[in-house]
Parts: sequence; structure tokens; C-alpha cells
Amino acid sequence: MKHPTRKGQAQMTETIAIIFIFFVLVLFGLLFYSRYQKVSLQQEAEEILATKAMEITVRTLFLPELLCTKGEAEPEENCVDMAKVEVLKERSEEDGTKYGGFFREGKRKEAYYFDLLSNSRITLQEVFPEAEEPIVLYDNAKKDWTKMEPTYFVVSLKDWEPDWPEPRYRFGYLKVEVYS
Amino acid sequence: MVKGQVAITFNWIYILIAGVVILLFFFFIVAKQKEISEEKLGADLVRTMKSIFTAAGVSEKTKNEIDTGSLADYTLFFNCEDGRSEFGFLGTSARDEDRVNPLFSPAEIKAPKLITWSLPYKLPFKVADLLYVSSSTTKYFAWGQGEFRDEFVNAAKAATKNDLGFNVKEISNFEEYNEVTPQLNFQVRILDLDGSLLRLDRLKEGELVPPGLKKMADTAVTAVSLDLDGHNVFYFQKEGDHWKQSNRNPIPIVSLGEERDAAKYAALFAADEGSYECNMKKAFRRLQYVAAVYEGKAQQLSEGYQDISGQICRGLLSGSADSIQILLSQLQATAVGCEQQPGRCADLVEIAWRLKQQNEQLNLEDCVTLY
Repeated sequence: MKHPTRKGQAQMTETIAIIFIFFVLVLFGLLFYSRYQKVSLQQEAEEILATKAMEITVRTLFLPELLCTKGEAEPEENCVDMAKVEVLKERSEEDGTKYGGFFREGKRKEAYYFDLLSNSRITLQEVFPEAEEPIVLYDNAKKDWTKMEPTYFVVSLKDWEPDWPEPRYRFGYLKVEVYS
Repeated sequence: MVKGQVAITFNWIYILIAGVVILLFFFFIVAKQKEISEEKLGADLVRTMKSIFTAAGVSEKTKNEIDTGSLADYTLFFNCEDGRSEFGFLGTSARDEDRVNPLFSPAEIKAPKLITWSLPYKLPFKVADLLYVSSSTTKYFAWGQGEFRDEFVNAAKAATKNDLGFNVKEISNFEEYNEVTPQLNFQVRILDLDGSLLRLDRLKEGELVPPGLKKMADTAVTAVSLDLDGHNVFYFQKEGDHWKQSNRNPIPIVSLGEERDAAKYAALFAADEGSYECNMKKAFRRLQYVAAVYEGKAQQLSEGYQDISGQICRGLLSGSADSIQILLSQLQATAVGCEQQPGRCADLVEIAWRLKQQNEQLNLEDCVTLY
């Protein structure tokens, strides 16, 4: 058997060293790249959540299930019909589902409103003339959520009882929390 | 000497193999990165479009023009089956599905500008916003006489050059019909707004596609025809130089037939009969849920009119066979049938009319109105 020469050994060590350094550099590159990817993915997830929050807020504000109407005229924008809210509240109590019962009656309806409102929690808070207990209109918050984006929108609350000649307006805000 | 030559040759082969391996490695990374970027771009585009459609959907009665910029080279597609619609860009895998918001558009759009418009669908209260999506390269030729044609053309097209509007041109005789050309448009749709042009059983002249459109792809030339009273719609597709009627049975337009009739406008913007019925199903489903809220409201109002002075209002709201509460529960039940079988929608209109009258009666009697 022929023994390797010193020169050959040195060349071999040199080659291994070069390969080692090369792979270390590639590894550094990959590490750096994966870090960068992770950060940019997080940023993207935040952007997606913010967009989704805005979309759900817009949809909530224009829900015919909540919107104030004026006969054949244009609906009153940024206005919540408290008579409709009362119906939603009652349905929740009847069903024993504490929050957002109307929107979650049965699997079919629940899936429908999930497509519309996703993993969110929608609360109506009256602030003027009196601050009342917040009313939860829809609650489908994710149990293991990692991020939450709240959006607030000032709305008028229209109420009209049979013995009032005209409707009365109060003020409050809709809080839409979207979870991811 | 020979040993040295072999060593040098070996070194070069070694360098060559290593170089190729390294190059392949980077090529692989670049190719993978390109694939990921394209997927990401597709997803970003779809997300952006979805946001635009959400905003446009609630901007009632407002037309919006959206510059597509570099997206002009991409083809946006729409389809709808079983109450589930989707849109995306051809050539990318990104899609967006929707089971809630009715959207009426051509099957494909490729244009530098998108045009969106939404109208409230009322039966008789607002049920949903129907969103119409079209483009600057989708040309509509409006044929017909009468009030509806004038109303549609005035509402849809831009009044001045600076106004927003759909690409609509009126044609009023066969001479103009035969002169229709595609110009630089991606697709053309003929709108027969009084049913006098494209009913094959009635008019021979309407059988033929305008000569100027014969060279266009069949899929790019479509027509839609309303019957004389505007209660039914028929879809047509170009087949060579003839029109082929897509739906043998008329598709009913379920609406109160008032001005800016959202369901009728939707029929004009929908790609075909399948897409129209599929998106209308979404509205019928929403109707069940919105009517349930109004039924609860009617119950509440009725309970509020307990004393003698409120007897008339209470009577209108509940109790009698024609009361609002009963009508609302009939509306819900009929909407369920209608969602499953569009042919069973006729009663919806009748019930909605009676509800509208009862609501007007509430107003006349100084009662709190339902909507």
C-alpha cells in the first residue's frame, strides 16, 4: 500500500478547509435569509391582519342586520338601529349562547357569518348620554390567537319607541376586534 | 511529468464539477425564489382586489374607477358555482372564494382600468349590495326603446369625458347594429334592453352577430336580452357568425321592478345565466337572515302598541293573516325555496310588495315603520 505524501496531505487538508469554509458561508447565508424571511413574514401577517380588520369593520358598518333605514330613502350611514340590536340580544339570550347568538344559530348560518365576519368580536358601546354596558353583537374570537387588531368607529344609535313621535339618537362606538 | 499532468487535469475536473454543483445550487435557489415571488405576487394581487371589492361593495350607487397599472397584462377571472364564487388571476394559483357577497362581472377582464358599481338590492328593505365589476375594455352596446333603456344608459355610462362610467354605446337600428365593431376592446356585450333584438323565435335579423365582431373569439362576444316587461332574462353567446341562446328557459328577475333595479342591472353585467343565478342565490340566502331580524323587530314594535290607541299599528304589525310579521315569516320560507330552486322565486316579489304596502300603511297611520 502506498502512503500519502505530505504534500498530498496538505492539499487534502486545504481542500477540506475550503469546502468547510464554503459551507459555513452558505450556512450563514441561509441563516441570514431565513431570519429575513421570518421577519418579513411577520410583517406581512400584520399587514394582512390590518387589512382584514378594516374590511370587517367596513362590512359591519354596512350590515343590513344593523343599519338604520328611512323607508325608501338612502340608509342612514354610521348608524345602528337599536331595535335590531335588541332582536340580536334577545336571540342570544334565548339560545343560551351568551354572545352573538343570532349570527351563530345553526351551523349553516354560523358558517355564513363566519365567511363575512371571520374570527372577530364586535361590540357596541354606548357613550352618550350615558355609558351603558357594552353589547357583544358577534363573538367568534380565536381561542389560541396570537395577534389582535382592534378598530373603533363612532356611530349614532337610533331608537324609536311606539310612544315617541320621533326617533331619538344616542352616540356610541363599534369596536371590531379581529384575531389571527 | 505524466503524474503532474494527471494532477492538473484532475484539479480542473474537480473545479469544474464543484463549480457546476455550486452554480446548480444557486440556480435552484433563484428558481425557487422566483416561484415563491410569483405565488406571493398572485396572493398580494388577489388580496388587494378583495379589499377593493369590499370597499366598492359598500359604496352604494357610486362608480369607482381603479387603475390596474402593471396588472393590465394579467387576466382577472371570475366564476361562480353552487353559491360559491371565486376570482383570481390566470396563470397564478392564488384565488379568493366568497359565499356571501354577490358580484356580477364578465368571466374574464383584461384592462388598464376596472370599473366597479354597487346598487342596493331591496325586497322591500335592503338585503345586500350587488356589486358590478367591469372594465374600460368591456364594451356594451345598448339596444332598445323605452324608459328602462334611457334609465340604464344614463346611469351606467359617463355623461361627460371626466365622469366615471361604463363603456356603453347606444344603438337604435339594424344599420347601427351591423356597424358594431370591437375597436380596441377585450370583449363586447350586446344589451337587448327591450327584447326586440335577440329573441330568435321572433326576429330573423337578430340571428346574426354584427359582421364587425365575427373575427373576435366566441368567448369575447356575448349578449343579454330582457323580455318586453323586463321580468326575464336570456343569455347569448357568439358561435361563429350566429348567436346561440345559452338558457332555454327564461331566468326570472326577482325584484320589485323599481328605478335602479339592482337585480335587473345585475342580469346585464353577469357573465352568463349560471353566474347570475349563483350570485343571486347569495342574496336570497341573506334575505332569510335579514328578514329574521325584521321579524323580531316587528314583534317588538307590536308589543310596544299594547294600549287601545295602538290597536291599528298592532294590527298591521301582527295578528292578521296579512300582518307584517306573517309576511316576514312567509318571506323567509319562500327565500329558502328560492335559494334552492330559482324557479320558485315568483312568490317572493308578491310578498315583498305586500310588505312594502304594509310599511307605507304604518307610516300613514303614524306608527313606527319597520324599515
